[in-house]
Amino acid sequence: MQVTGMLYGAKMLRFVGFPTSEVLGPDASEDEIKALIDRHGEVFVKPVFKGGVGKKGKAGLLGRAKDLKTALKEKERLYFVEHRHGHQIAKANGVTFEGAVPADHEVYFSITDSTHFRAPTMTLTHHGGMDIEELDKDQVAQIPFDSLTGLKAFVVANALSALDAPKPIISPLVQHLPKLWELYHDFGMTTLELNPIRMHEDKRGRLSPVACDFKCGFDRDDPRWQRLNLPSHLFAVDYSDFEQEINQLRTYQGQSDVYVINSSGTILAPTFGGGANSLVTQMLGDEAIISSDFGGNPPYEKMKEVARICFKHWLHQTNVLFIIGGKSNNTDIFETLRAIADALREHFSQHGATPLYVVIGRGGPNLIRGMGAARDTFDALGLPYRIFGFDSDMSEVINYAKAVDAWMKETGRAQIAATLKIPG
Amino acid sequence: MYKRGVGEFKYYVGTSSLAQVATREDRVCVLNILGGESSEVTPVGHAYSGGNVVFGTSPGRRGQVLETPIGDIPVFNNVLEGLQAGHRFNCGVIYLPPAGARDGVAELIRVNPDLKKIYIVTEKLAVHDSREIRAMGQQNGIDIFGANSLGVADSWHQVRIGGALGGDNPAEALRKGSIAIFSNSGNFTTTIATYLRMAGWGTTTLISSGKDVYIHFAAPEFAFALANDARTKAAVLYVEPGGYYELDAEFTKPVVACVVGRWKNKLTRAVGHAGAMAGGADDAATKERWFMEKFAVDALFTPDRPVCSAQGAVVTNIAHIPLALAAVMRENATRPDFAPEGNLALKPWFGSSQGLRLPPPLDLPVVEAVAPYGEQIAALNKQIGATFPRQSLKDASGASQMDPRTQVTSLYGVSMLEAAQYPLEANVSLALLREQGGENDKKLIDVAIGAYVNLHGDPALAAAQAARDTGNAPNSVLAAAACIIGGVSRADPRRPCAAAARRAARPRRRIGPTARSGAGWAPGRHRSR
Repeated sequence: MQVTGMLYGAKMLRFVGFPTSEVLGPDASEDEIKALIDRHGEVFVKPVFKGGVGKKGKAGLLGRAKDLKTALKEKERLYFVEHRHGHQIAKANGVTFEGAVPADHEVYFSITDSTHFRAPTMTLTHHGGMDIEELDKDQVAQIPFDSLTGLKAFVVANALSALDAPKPIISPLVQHLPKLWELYHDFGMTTLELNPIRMHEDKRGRLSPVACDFKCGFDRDDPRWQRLNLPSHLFAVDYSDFEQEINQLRTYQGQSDVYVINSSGTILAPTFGGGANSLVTQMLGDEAIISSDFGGNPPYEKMKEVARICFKHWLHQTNVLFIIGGKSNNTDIFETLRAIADALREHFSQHGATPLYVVIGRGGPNLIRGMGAARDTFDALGLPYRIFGFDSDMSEVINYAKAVDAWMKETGRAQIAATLKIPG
Repeated sequence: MYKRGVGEFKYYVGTSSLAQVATREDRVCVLNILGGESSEVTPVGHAYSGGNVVFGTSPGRRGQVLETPIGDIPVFNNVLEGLQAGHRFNCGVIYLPPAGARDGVAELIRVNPDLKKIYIVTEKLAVHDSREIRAMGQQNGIDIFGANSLGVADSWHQVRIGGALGGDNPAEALRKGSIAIFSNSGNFTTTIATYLRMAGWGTTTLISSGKDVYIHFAAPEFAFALANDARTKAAVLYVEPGGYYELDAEFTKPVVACVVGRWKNKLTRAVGHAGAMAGGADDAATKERWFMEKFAVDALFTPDRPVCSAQGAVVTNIAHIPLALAAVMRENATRPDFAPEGNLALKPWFGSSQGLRLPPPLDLPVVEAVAPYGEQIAALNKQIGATFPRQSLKDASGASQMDPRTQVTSLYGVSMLEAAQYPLEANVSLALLREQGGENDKKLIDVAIGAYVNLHGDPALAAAQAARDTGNAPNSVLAAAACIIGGVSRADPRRPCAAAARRAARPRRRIGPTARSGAGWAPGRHRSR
């Protein structure tokens, strides 16, 4: 849940009274753009991406214009531009026009929760406008502070003194930067970055900070972000229909995190527990359709609904239904396996049979009852299966599931289809 | 602002040895003790630990108790009431929902000056609340375990606090030994203990750290307490990407570190553990390197290439932990704690190929499960028929299904068109036992049905037989019996007018055996069984 850019960043910053550059959205009229250029002498044209997308400037995705014609040309170039950054590919949908802020000083500022200090931590430097990673450590101040008292003016003042920052920028930053703590802490953020903050000089020569770019991340487990009244589509950026449906079941009682690894995979592996999720997804690689964590003792109804959604989206292409986890502590195995088995039976009842091999590896409370319920269902549906206890090497169970998948791809699927009297 | 604790930490740490993490002297107060999870988990832990929970809270439920195998645990509206009733405790356990966990921590700290440790089981805690919890613990000198933790356990002290480590039978996983476990995954804490036990290693202290952004009791504190615990010879760490906790840990005893999660680099958001978001300089590959540098090894440990030193080994698969530990401990001239209790070979407890010819490597034979699971499976197999749950909705059990293409219904995979050709006994057997049965079964079913409906001497039977003897069609035979039984009552359309039939039959019954003259006879009773 990330927001980048000034289109929404400026609204959030205004909420706490932090000055921002003047921004027009994608629907700005030519008159408005021209007036903006007239006021500021120059505008930056930036593509609007949903979610967190970095390194846009380096990728040449930043347009500059001193006249309307150039601005519109840049708008056309950037409106639907594609941007690849690491493993992410993002497509723009719109541009912003941001009034240029002439300044002699650029400042970098961020707040995040540091696992090194185990506290909210401010990162600050007056060598802003560039990647923070590229600066020497002595040019950057990283200061943890007390979350119960918040980011106080003296924390900022001490940091700027330690950095030997130019005197004219200290007072305005000390006045304005602490406001950002309210935005960060009270609205469920986990990271907030302003880079650059340009120190604008007014007619009387006084400096004031103006945020010229914005980046923040929200905590998906914290509803405080809803207080900002941001449009919900901002965060629906990378969710498939399947993920959307599963996420609706996400509550604190029992996790239901999923991620589609490979939409043409052949092993459907609902996994239980974050640890199993990490191990299984790593070992299955691209054969896995989804990466998931359904641990945390989900109740029967929720588990059945999760399984129903998984089957609805993926069972038709699945060779191996692979139900895997370690030795659970409090997840009731009877409830989870019974729920999955019942969902599978209902799916077969509603949509017809599909060739499938089932592999289970699990331990925990009510284990044998759960395995018995699964066995009865697979027998009733005529599906081949192997069910392993917790005394089998989990990684070998994963390898077994992969071997079954390979066999299914060769002849197994057709063989099972023949016994089920359905097309292969 | 933090209280001064043990060691040279720049933050408060109160636990100087792993032996202090969970002791027999610890007394526990559980917040939201009657919640769904706690009410199942707390009684098991309480009994295993010799009765360490002094009371619990649940607003509005003062006076209730939580039953456990060794006695009831009293419940109060809040912590203050429990203290006023004379109970004393030094450990708080948070089973509250995420929105209430921070307030629970505040309540424990504010009203109980004896408090030393808090264990937070709650998952999906907002980072906002975690950072405030951290600050409260630091200011007041409280060690906090979690959040999103499954608590801690100690195999020497036979104590578990704040969670479900070891599941519903802690002794099954927790055998006294010389290895400490610190794991980002609660499930894997128990799974690793089980794997170690099979290889001959027992445990000392087990900590499920949780894997939120804030891990309050983290790897550096664990390493410090490990060094000061005379019982522990080595440790196993299970680590996921995200966070710099492990970088700062200084180990003085041998360690096997299992780092899992390289694939998470592909993700754009966290799946599973909230803090396990990779990317940046704290991803899995980087963490592997941190540990390799600590252990002075140049590669990961695998069964094919067992690279390790006396300081430790790094694995990326939890199943390789026992092997790596044995290798590291050999370097330290240390033997396992006891003889291995088993092995990790593939052992299917249930299996069926449904008549398919599988390739030999896949066609694994079912083996008998370890005790007590083998006996449980044997008991399960003694049950006749399937154990499908009863469902209130029609067809919800899935026993009967309709083929969406042909619209023909089937029962346990047998089409009704096919079933119509079987005798009655075969279909009864199919419905009850999920198979049609052989000749013997049919005869047994005949006797069983005859005994159940007990029509001997019944006029309906006599009428049906008379109709059959005179060569009538089956429908006429049934109609003859129906005439005797009578029509449908207006008062209860489901029940035939049995009274009229009985009146008609009464004179005849006198000439039959005495079966219907007993005290158990009541109008309509045999019909409603």
